[in-house]
Amino acid sequence: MKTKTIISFLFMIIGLTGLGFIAPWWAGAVWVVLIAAIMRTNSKQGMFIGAFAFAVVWVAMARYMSFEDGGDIISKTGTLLGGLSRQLMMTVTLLLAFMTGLLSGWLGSALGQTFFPDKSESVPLEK
Amino acid sequence: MKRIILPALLFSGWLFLLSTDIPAGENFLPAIGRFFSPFQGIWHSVHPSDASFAFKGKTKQPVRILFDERDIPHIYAQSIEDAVYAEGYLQAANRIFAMDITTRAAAGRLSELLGKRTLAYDQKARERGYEKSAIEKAKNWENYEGNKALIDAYVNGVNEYINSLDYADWPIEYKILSHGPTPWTSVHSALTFTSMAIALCLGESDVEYSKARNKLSPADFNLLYAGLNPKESPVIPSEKIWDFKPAGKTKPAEGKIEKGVIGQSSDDHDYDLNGSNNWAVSGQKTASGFPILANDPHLGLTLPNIWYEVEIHTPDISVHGVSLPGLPYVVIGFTDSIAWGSTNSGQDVLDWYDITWQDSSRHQYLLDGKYEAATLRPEEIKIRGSKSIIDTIRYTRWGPVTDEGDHKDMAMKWIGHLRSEANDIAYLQKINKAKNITDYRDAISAFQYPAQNKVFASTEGDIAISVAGVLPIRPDGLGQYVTNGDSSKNDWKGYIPFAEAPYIINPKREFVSSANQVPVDTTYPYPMLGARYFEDYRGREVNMNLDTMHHITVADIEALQQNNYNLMAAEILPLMLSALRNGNCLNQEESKYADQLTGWNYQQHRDSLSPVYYEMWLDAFEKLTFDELDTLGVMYPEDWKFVELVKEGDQHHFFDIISTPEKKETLNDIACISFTTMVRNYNALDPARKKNWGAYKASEIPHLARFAPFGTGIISTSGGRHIINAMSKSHGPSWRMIVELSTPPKAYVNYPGGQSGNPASPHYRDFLEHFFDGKYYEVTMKKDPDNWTPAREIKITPL
Repeated sequence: MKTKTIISFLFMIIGLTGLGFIAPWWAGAVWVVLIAAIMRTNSKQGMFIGAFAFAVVWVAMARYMSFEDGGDIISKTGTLLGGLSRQLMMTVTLLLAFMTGLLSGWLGSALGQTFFPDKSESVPLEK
Repeated sequence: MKRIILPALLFSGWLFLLSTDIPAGENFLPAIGRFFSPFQGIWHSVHPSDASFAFKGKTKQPVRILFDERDIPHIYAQSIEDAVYAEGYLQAANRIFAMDITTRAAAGRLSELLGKRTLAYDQKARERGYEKSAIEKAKNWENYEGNKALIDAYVNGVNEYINSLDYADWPIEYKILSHGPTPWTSVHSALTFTSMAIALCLGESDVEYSKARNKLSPADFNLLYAGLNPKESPVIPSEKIWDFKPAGKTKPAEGKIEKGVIGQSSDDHDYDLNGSNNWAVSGQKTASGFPILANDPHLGLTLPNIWYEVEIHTPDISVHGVSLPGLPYVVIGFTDSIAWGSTNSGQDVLDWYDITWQDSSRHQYLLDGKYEAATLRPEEIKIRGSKSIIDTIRYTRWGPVTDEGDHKDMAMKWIGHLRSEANDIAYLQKINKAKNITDYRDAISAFQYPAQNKVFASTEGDIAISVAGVLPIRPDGLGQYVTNGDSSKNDWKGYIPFAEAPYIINPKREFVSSANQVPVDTTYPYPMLGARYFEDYRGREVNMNLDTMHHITVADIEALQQNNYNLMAAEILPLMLSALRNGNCLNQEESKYADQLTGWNYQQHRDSLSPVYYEMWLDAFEKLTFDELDTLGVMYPEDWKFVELVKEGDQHHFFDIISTPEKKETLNDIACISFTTMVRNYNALDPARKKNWGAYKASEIPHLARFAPFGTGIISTSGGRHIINAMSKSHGPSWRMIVELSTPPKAYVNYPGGQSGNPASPHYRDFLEHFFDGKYYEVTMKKDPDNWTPAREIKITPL
């Protein structure tokens, strides 16, 4: 259980990071769906791992970019978007990533449980 | 299967929500999924790359672009087509959003990007037919040999950059607006010309003059608006002999010139506009013995700046200066033989013709006694987030008919529409490779836009100034007022031939200059109609200085460009203070203000307090004097006329306040009341604005799309209206250039902004502080790419 969680999390982190640079923003969400499905995570696991992986990757990347923000662009853009501070911009980024990962992980686990049922886990339940 | 439905619905709904632009009032919140993605969205935009790189492009030969420490590109190409390809690429890379907004504004297509909030602006642009004439212009360019290859190369360069962009690379503004750039065409370049022509078309107040004439007595009208300032110091000095007879003199149609201009609204022109300066002094007046040319064109300032500095080298051309993003070549600059610059001549090249419709359908209009069919042109205005609107524009013999406020049912006859067959590119082609005075005159003969004062100096020692551009010849007396559009007799009779347009070469006074004042004195054979808001104070001040200066150095010219002496204040303030003293009305506190003003040296410096008192007092004084005009909704006269009225004093009834019929006020009363008002208003000012002139004026350079955080915020600047350093709130010197015509020429330049259009770039506004501290960057052309070390490089190799 623990191993599956860690492996899923690592796969998600790697995919989210790689796809982040080369694919549209939603490709990461699809990746999480796929990993959660293939790894046959349960719903809680999928939601937790997906949300956490997405949030870690996005926040880490945003944090890294903010170190480069010599022109204070994030704060200025936040002002344009109704007065959001840099911290609030980061918080919004975190929430969006968390929710996207959560829903992706949930859908992935639902798909996995439907199309790749884990027989070793399902047999006792059917008894 | 059932277990999938809920998460699938929530997942797809969530992705849809994050991928959709969200309307917020008249604005839009960008689709927040990609916008907040740190790999592509706004977080990704914080650190633009300034690395060297290479790419394959549509050039015939390799092109090298070397950037100096100010990020000025030096383009080295084997042909002009390759050079403008690179220039188009660079302009797009640094100004694509500005290029897009500028051309959308001219075309009336802002609402496609910005939604309903710009609809009124778009409707006005469509009604004035700017895009239609730009389409014709772009088509006509191809009729001239060599143009197509050149324009195609430039357009390809711009599109090379646009096509290289994916969402992650979009300029920040596009990410905020959630809308990317669209492909560039030659029509966009034609619209860039149009946009500049609109900005320079300042010389008409037809409706305002008509209103004034309809509402005031002939005596008052003549007193306030007729005649030229007797102190005028025209662009072309009086030594010039005009040895030709004017062509095309005709009388207008009989009957009233204008009809029905009785509206109440007042003059809506932007008096924040101040004007530009240029001059050239011959080697006889300089310490080095070389001519020196200076130019500071004043425009509405924005970030990024309207200009993009560039240096171009091909086997035929070596030129350095500022380009106008959207167009190839250098617009103001210098070669290794000559330098040139521009100011607006402010000549009237737009007339409004009053239209008589047959009926309310507005399909037929009266012309020469019968009704002619107007050409109806439906214009679809697409509005982001709303349904499109169809506006039907009516075209008459005179031009498009507008439906807007003061100009309702008037047709617009404008140079910008009429010269669509002109080869605008030719002027830029020729001036960029001019080597001497003959080449310069040949180049400006091709200039087909609202008239400009084109100043010139060469390493051969020549200096010159020409009023270049298209100057219409009208039937006698027409042009200043709204014209009756019922008769073709009222049409323009052609244009002043180039050889007869005002110019002077190597005048006896050893300098040429212009500061938007009248181009010629009354001996000039053609009538000249000019802008009422460009007055002569700067021109006189420039000429008075240059007249008395000898052994002039570059430092002297720098000081003159930044001269803050207020000549109008020097003329009117002693009169106002005298009236105030005669009024004997001040209390102890008010006397302190008067004492401060009495000791003022008329320098409108940002750290000085006296200009605040002066400007506030002048404003109150003028309003109180012209209360009659405010009541009637009539424009004020020019400021020199106000000075004359104050000088002449109580013989004029304008000093009587109309709201107090029981009392007849005098000039002294006006001085006292307005002074008290000034003191009261000053005391009521926000403490931050009370400090000095810079704080009071509160200049700022806004972002082009008015994204406030990307502008400068409040900055303290010296200068103001009627001052050589004509920096107002957000209008001022957009480029300062001084060129000493040594061999090779040496230039000193700066502009308020920076080379990059990206607010995140360190080059977005890195010249700004230097600029407002009055400093310049020294420039000498770098003709050999292997002879200097660039900060970075872009290499283009042929596909």
